[in-house]
Amino acid sequence: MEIKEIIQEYREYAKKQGFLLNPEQNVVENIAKGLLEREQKFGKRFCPCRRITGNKEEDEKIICPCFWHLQEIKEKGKCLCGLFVRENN
Amino acid sequence: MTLPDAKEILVNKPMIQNLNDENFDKEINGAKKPVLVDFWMQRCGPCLKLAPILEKLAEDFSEKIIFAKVNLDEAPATARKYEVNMVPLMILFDKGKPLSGFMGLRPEKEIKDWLDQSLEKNGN
Repeated sequence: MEIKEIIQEYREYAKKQGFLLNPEQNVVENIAKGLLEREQKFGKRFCPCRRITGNKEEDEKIICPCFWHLQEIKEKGKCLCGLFVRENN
Repeated sequence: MTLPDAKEILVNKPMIQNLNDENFDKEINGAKKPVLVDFWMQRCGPCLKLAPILEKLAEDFSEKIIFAKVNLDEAPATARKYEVNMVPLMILFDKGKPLSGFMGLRPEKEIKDWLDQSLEKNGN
């Protein structure tokens, strides 16, 4: 899978959920590269702003979109890594 | 805001030390001044945005604080020890012990005020 495809996949996900991808293209591309690198290395798209602990149950939570992203977008206007942002943020 | 290239973050930055599992304890415990450690990762957007802010603050606080960076991928043992599970995370150490810290991207003024307050509280 390529960066463009990953970005398109998350753009569609964001649209379905009622939020947006970060309008800063360079931020989105950097995160998408991180997700792709981690997928190639560890088999899953772990968030590039979170540590892989080695605890399977905990690490499942950091697969993008992560366990916390909805709450973070609601409370702070964006997720930790800044991939997803609230409309009118 | 322009996102700096992650490769540029650690080159030609004499004001900021690069720490890893090999040198972390030695540098933190042996420092004559408090040390602000920026835990970061290469593909973390907020970390890259924070980098130029910290470079500026490293110059402003050069007489009071040592600024350091820890790439989580190069310091897994240190990350586990301090339970750093997400980045960017700042921890201010003094005499080897964590004094204060914060998580996430913040504006320069807010970080400056936090550093001033932390130093004052600690009697530095």
